[in-house]
Amino acid sequence: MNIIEQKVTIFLSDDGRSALEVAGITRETPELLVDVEDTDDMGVWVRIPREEGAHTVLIRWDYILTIDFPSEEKRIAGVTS
Amino acid sequence: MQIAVDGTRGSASAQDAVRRIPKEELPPLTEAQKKVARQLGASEEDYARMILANKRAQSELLVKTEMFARLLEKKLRDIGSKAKIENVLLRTTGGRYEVEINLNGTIIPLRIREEIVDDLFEAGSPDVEERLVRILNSTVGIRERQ
Repeated sequence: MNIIEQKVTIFLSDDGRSALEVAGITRETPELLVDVEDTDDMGVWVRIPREEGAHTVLIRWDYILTIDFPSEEKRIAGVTS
Repeated sequence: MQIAVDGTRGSASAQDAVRRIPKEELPPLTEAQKKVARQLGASEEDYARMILANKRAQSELLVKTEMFARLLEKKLRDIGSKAKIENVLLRTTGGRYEVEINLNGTIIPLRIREEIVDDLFEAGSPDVEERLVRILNSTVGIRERQ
């Protein structure tokens, strides 16, 4: 599944929320709405707004309980040959 | 000929386009969508933009699918085939095109990896068209020459 360039909600584990707190990103609830910039073996690289602008933050796979985003139904179009 | 896209994919251009839409012009959410927006920690505005971006990204994939379908049609003509393309479906999660080609009333199913087509559309790779011809010759072509 490719989620790059997608806006998704990441549900963080308790450790994940603690890890983000170390970086000064405080979450009272597990869900975090983010723009995904890239994914790799380490985790998801996301864009998060900070006071002075957007930052790119790594959220490790270990800290993610699940990811949720709306998907689209099949769309069909007829074209003339 | 029918083209289709199953699912969608992230798209920076779709996100950018949707970001520019004034809040007042965003479509209102249904009650069910509002409930899900809350569950996902999204404001109603953010969720409306997410949905629109997904639809826009799917439209982009539909355009790409049509371009691929027309390319495949041309390749069929290039090899002298009388077969016609009936359906081309892009399965986004599988990263492949599922093609149905009608040869004298028989439907021949083909699966072609999306990355092969992207090599041509995004990198101008010169051997992709040869590979497509090879695929058509070894499937539709063989049947047609029987």
